[in-house]
Amino acid sequence: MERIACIAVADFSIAALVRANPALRDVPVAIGQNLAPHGELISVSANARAAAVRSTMTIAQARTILPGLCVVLRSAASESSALDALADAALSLSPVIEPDAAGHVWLDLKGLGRLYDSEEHLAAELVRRVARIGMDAAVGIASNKEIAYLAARCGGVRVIEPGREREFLDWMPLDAIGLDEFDPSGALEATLMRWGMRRLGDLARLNPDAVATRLGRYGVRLVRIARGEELSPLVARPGAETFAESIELDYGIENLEAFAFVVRPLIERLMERLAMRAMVAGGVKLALDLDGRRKFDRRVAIGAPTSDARAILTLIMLNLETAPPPASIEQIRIEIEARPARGFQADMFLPPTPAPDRLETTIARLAAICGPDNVGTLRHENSYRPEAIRLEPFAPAPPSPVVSRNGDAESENITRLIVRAIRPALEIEVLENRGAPEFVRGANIGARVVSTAGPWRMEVEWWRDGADDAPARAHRDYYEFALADGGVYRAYRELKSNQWFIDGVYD
Amino acid sequence: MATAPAIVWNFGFAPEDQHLPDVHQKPNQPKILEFSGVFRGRELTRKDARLSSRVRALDNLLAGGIPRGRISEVVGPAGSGKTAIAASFAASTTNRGEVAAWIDLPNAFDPAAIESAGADLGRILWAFSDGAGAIKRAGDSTRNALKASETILGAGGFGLLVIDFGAMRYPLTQSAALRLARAAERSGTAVITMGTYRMFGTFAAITLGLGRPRPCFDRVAPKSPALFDGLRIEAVVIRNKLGGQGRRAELFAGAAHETLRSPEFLAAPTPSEKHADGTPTKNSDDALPSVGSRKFAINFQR
Repeated sequence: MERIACIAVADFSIAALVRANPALRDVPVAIGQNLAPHGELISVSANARAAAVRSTMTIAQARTILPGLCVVLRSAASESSALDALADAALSLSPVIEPDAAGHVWLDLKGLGRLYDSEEHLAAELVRRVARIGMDAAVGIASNKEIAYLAARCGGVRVIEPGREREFLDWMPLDAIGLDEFDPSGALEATLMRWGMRRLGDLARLNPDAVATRLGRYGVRLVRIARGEELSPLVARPGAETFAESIELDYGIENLEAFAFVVRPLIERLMERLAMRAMVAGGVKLALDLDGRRKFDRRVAIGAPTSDARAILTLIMLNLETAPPPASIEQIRIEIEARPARGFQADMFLPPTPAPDRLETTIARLAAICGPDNVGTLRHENSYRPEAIRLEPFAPAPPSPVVSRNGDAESENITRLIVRAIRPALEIEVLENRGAPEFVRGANIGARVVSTAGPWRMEVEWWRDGADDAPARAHRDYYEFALADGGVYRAYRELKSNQWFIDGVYD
Repeated sequence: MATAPAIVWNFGFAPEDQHLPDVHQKPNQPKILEFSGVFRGRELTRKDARLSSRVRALDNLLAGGIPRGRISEVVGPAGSGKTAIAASFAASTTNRGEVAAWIDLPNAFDPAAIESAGADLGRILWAFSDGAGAIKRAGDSTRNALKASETILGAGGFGLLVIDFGAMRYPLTQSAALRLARAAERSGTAVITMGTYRMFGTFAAITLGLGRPRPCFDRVAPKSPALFDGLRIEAVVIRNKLGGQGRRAELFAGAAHETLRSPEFLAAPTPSEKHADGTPTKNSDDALPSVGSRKFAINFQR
């Protein structure tokens, strides 16, 4: 038997605004057509409704009743983000979902019974997941879309057992189903009240033809719902593959510190959505609307896919600090390029290594701390120049049960001589005596040459002379100088310019 | 009838963790299988869990290697062999299949040299802290290096963390040293810090001091160009919370490792020391501080 769940967020427009601005959570809020005193309210929050504020009042009337009422304009950006987040919460449980623009999502629960003890547990889990994305939802579960929707309209969690739909519909109060959705003029509700209809069961007993002649198409549809005859199929929609959050600002932001304060909750919400879809962030697209209708787009690369909001925020800030927006920011849109999170199974018989997701997060944090170009695997470039290096992304291969070739090598007391690079090479002055280096002088260095080895001539990359991106050919004589200060340095003389440099010290 | 070798289960630590002085595993002993360490006791990191360098003299000096989950300082002047010692541990770590990290304040990491020490560069996470990151104030590079180190230790799973402080002249604050020591113990990662001076004070489990090195030059033949053989390193355990303080050893950082480590090469006198008739001679170049440096390779004391 088909089982459908419906997630319903009451006063969705206001819930989306509260989600974008959590400071409004405990404040009576209303959405107005405009912010003028004569402007009508479109929607009011539950706590404002409790104070007798209604949606058809003007702002002036509402503020007479409730002086602390916060009136805001409807935000399409917030609603879009909230709807996507709601769909993500649903998709984290079922692959077949149907969202609508009013903040309702239907899910096909086929096959999910094995994962949860009961449908009540499943509905409670849905409520928890919607709470994670910053909204309060009601969940109804029934055997078709309409009854699941009506069950969700009752608030909280309500599961209609198979075969008990008729009983539920008979009980369902008419004022709980939202008659203004059927007839926005309110005439239908007034008529039904005049007839003494209080529950759907009262309507179900009426003759549909007679109702049609008196109430028109809205009435017919209502009777069909009351009789359980309104059966529309679940139309599955693919889940959004873009993870974006937007916010419209009342006042333009002009400094990056305030920007970070506003952006952090957006990133945290996005990370929550990604986590529910088992994904991580591989890149960030930043779209800012600036003062004067200007646009500012920026892509922020993430060194390693991560779900760490702090690291992503730091990377965005580092990026913006290099080239900040030229005007104040009025709207922010952050889109995450999602990548699937990698699973990891540790081996009991191999040395422990960092889990891939934690490693990626660590690398992203390190990139934020040290700079994105300063973290990774440093390798020697395929070149004869000792100073040629390249940076690669750090991606260690999983440990192999076979120990590598040097695993068992053990020496008595000999280690390998290591040269520490000096970057960039330090220019020095070498005083010579009959062609032999005698004294070395330069920044932070100045000592007598005790011993010398070399020279070893190197002439490389002459074959690349003339290429646009090629470095100049290297024609050098290399020496090892043991100086009186106790160090042994690797030095070279550029034969073309006769300049001396130190590019390493043996350590 | 040949019997299959017995297998000894070694829960909680690697074979080399048992690498204590004079207790080396013989080739004919049963093979020890390594276990990843899930059965740890109340102690966050066992004191006897050691990371070997695969250099016998160095391991003997440190009673089996540097302790995991503790900070080991290697201090000495520039060119004293600190990097060679750290590279030995990095090579040992990566060859066991573990992952190492190298925080580089002076930007002195030379990949070719570290790879020549036997390290697998693909298993070394390098981070250069030059103060270009998130924090841009005075002392940024040190602050960023400490933050980066804590981040790496917090991730867990790293076998070794090397922090190269370069020529930094002032010790860390107690709080910074304590934080890093705690993070190391929680993660079980062996931490090596390299610097000119002691920086971690009482929070370092081992402080290995290196004296002024003796560079060894040699000639293939009289009047031929001199060759740089390597550095004779004198190491002393200045401080060891786990015992063995005051031990000394002499190591040799050789430029041609594969050749120098062969016993035949070590035993053979240098060409410049012998005349054609086989009698010893003296090198004519007085500028060379030592002749036949390979002698140093076989002379070490505890």
